[in-house]
Amino acid sequence: MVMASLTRRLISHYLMYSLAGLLVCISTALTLTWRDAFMQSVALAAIFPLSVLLLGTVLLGRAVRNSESIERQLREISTSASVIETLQPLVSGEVTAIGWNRLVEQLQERRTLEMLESRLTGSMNSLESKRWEILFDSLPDGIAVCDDHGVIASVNNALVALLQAKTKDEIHGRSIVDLLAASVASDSDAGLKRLRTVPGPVICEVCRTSNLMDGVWRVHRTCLLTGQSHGESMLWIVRDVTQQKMAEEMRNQFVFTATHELRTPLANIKAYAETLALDETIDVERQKGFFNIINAEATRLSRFVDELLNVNQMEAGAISISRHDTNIARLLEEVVEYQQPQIAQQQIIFTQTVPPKLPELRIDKDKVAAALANILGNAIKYTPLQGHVRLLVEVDSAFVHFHIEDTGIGISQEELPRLGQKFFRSNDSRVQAITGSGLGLAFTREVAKLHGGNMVVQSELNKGSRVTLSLPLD
Amino acid sequence: MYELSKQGAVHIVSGRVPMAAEYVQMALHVFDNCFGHGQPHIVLHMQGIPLLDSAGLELLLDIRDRCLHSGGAMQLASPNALCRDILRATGLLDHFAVFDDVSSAVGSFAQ
Repeated sequence: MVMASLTRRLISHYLMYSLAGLLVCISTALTLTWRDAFMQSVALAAIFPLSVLLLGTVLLGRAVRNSESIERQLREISTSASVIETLQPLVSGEVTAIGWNRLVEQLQERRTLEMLESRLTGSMNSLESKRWEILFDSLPDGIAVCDDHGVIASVNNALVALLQAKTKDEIHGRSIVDLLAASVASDSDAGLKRLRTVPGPVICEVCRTSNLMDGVWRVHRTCLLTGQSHGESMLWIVRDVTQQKMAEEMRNQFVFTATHELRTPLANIKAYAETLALDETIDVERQKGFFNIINAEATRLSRFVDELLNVNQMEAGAISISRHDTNIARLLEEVVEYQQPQIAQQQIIFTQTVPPKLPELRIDKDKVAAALANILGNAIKYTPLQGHVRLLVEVDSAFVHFHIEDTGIGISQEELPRLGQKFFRSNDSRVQAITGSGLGLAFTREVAKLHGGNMVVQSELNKGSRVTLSLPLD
Repeated sequence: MYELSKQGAVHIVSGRVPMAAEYVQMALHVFDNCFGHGQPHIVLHMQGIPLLDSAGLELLLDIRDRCLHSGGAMQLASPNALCRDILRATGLLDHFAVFDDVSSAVGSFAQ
């Protein structure tokens, strides 16, 4: 049908051109006949139809070529998988060619749009997947997706850091319980036991060592929502709660210590005050004694409250120091003098080695005196009867070092790092038997820091301790 | 210079010199000691740091990114007025949690 209409059009075009040519020839011949130019008119009569024939052939050829090209491309489409790549535009001004070219152009535009859409969808999917990956890795809690046996399928960066691994590959495919156990000093940790023995969802805490500072993790194991793929059925969340646990312990310590330190003197004050109020038979000397006790207990209470406020304010940066040029030798004399009653009571053998010429230091005299008194007081307090306490002062190019050594009960290496923490007191029963607020060394450490110095404690259990307070020369 | 101390599980880095190009390597060396022990929780105590330059700012961002990569965090404590202005002018103030004192900064990790 296509061919028939094409043929009809071709024939009609040819006839049209031929007729036009013939008319031109006839009119030319008639005109020239009158000019009596027979040869010219024969030549003209011969050239014109020939020209017209030639023109008609060229135009016909072009039309036929366009039709052939379109027909060929349509044939190729029927056998080719890709329609768009098969189609080629035609170079021609013919109406059919123009129509064909428009068709090809639209098909190519559509193809380009489809490709762009496909690429965009692919990029968005990839971005979405990457976004979730970024979210997963940005979480501060350690997350692992594991199978029923606790073998890790996926893990985020936070868990890699918690387990002190370098890369995710180090952890993939390994048992999460084994990895947690490797970070814990004791296999008998209660949390680990629960994770090994209790199936299904579990929430527990795992302590890396008996020292809270070394790390406490809250581990939450739960089932993944439905739709999980094979090998991914449990979600593990590991959160580092060390700081929370330490804050909790400090609060408990504070409550315990404050209660004890406030209650005891208050109880004594109340008891003696009641006795004085109710018992009229007490002689004057005894009354005086009772008043002295009340006074001493009130002083103890006041000192505890002051220490507490001072340490809190220092930690908060709310206390400043008032520096003045201070004669260190005289300061030391005052501090030692203040401790003489305790030295005598404990029968301590006290020695001091102080250089003959000590530099003047620009310090807050009261605070440094209190700090030194704390250290010396502790040395005396925790040294058994007739033990040794020694004060040694050294000066180097940058610091003055006040060393206070004793042959006292010392402290274990485990507890040593915690000395100087607020309210910390050793669990040693000998220490617990002696009154103390656990604030003295915390205060001393803060004083040292405020002056740009530091406090260092060395100790050996049952052998003794050495506390060094170092203050800068300038 | 730069010193490292610990309060609980939190590393506190204190500086006494500007956080500037000539001191950045020293500071980086101190910060490096905060990593590799679990999730890094770092407080940069800036009371003694008089100013920051571009190298210092870059270091802060690097350390922050390293912390975030491990699920940890770095807080800034007690920056002086100049450091605060530098952070604000460079648009970095919103990238860090800034506290008025070390205690608050350390305490934020316990919440």
